Amino acid sequence: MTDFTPPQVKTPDELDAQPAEFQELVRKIVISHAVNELYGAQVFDEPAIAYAPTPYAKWLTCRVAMEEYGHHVRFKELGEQIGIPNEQMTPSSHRPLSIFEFPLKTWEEFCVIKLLADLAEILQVEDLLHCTFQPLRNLARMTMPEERFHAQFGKDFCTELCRSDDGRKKVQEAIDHYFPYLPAFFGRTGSKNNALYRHWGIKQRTNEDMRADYLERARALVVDHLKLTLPAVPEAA
Amino acid sequence: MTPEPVAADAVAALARRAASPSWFAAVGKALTEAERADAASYLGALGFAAVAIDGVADWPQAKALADAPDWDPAWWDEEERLRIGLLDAAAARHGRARLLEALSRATQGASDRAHGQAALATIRAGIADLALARAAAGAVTQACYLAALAAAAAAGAEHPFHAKFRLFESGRWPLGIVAGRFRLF
Repeated sequence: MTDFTPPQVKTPDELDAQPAEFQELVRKIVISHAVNELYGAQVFDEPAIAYAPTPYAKWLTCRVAMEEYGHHVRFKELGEQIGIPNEQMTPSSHRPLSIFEFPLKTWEEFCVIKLLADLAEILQVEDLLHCTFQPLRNLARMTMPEERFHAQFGKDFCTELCRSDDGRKKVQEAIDHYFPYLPAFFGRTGSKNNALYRHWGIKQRTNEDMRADYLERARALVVDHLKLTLPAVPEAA
Repeated sequence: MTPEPVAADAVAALARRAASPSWFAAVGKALTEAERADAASYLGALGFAAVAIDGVADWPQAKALADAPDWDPAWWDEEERLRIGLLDAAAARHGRARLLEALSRATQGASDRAHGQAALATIRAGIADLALARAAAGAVTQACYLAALAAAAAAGAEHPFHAKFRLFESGRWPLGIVAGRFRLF
């Protein structure tokens, strides 16, 4: 181990003075969040309004969609401040994560996505809470309460749905369908990219550590709380 | 067809209107004649002129009504049918991407403000319910979006989406038709 201490970058304006590798990594992670927040709002949250069973659930989903869109806007604004072209921060410029390629078909699927995909998002945002690029750290702190609410939304509605046999069956089917795609969110085991992020203090944890944490938290929710089962997932390469 | 440059203006005007109301300021109070008239105008334009209008006493009752399994989806479906028609008309006039961007900008500010005011209103009523405050904000968000869309499509003031927005502007929360009656909180 060297004595290297990564810089603490306090403002967007200070980024240009940092090493090129640090700048590139920060821009990459901002783009990833800006794109995926918008993908999520467009592919899952907005369509879910139609599937929600009551006006209350529809309006609640509407606000959740707006919060996800708001996260996209905040990451995009930070991106603009650090010189990322707008067109790089929209889904049209990026291949979607695999989970975004399956259009939402039911309310149960949406609740499971909030339960499990937003949990994955929480872990990613938690990892930024000590980020050396402080504008990103501040953004993580700002969005975290809403991310936690979204996951709680998924937990509450899944709990409610599981009170009936039909609901339990549909929630289990949605878990079986979507969950296998989620561990890949955390990237490859032994990733060189992740090592660079940690070297610069932008991220704190290895991909495999985060994935293991995610699998344990997902197990607690699905197996311990909902009394359902988690499907086996392929080991990450 | 070249997109008309007025979409942003029409939607921005609605966004400015949406920046000032005290959302939920009148919930639980007795309905005024003007509010009943706006509610009747909204219901009539949607095709539900015969439906009676009821006030709603408090937040717990509002939540129960909005979440009632016996709610009547016909009014929601009719709003949705009108929304799709307006969206096609407005997109043809202004260009879809530009329109959607303008609508998102217009609704985002109103949604955040409404969320803060709903949270305060529920706390003042002695209710700690993060989800209820968000649902209330979501209802404002949807009403702003629909009114902004109607503005972008140059729909007149008598359009039901404008009437619905006026009800929210006056501090109310229209909860829809439940058990055959229109519930106005």
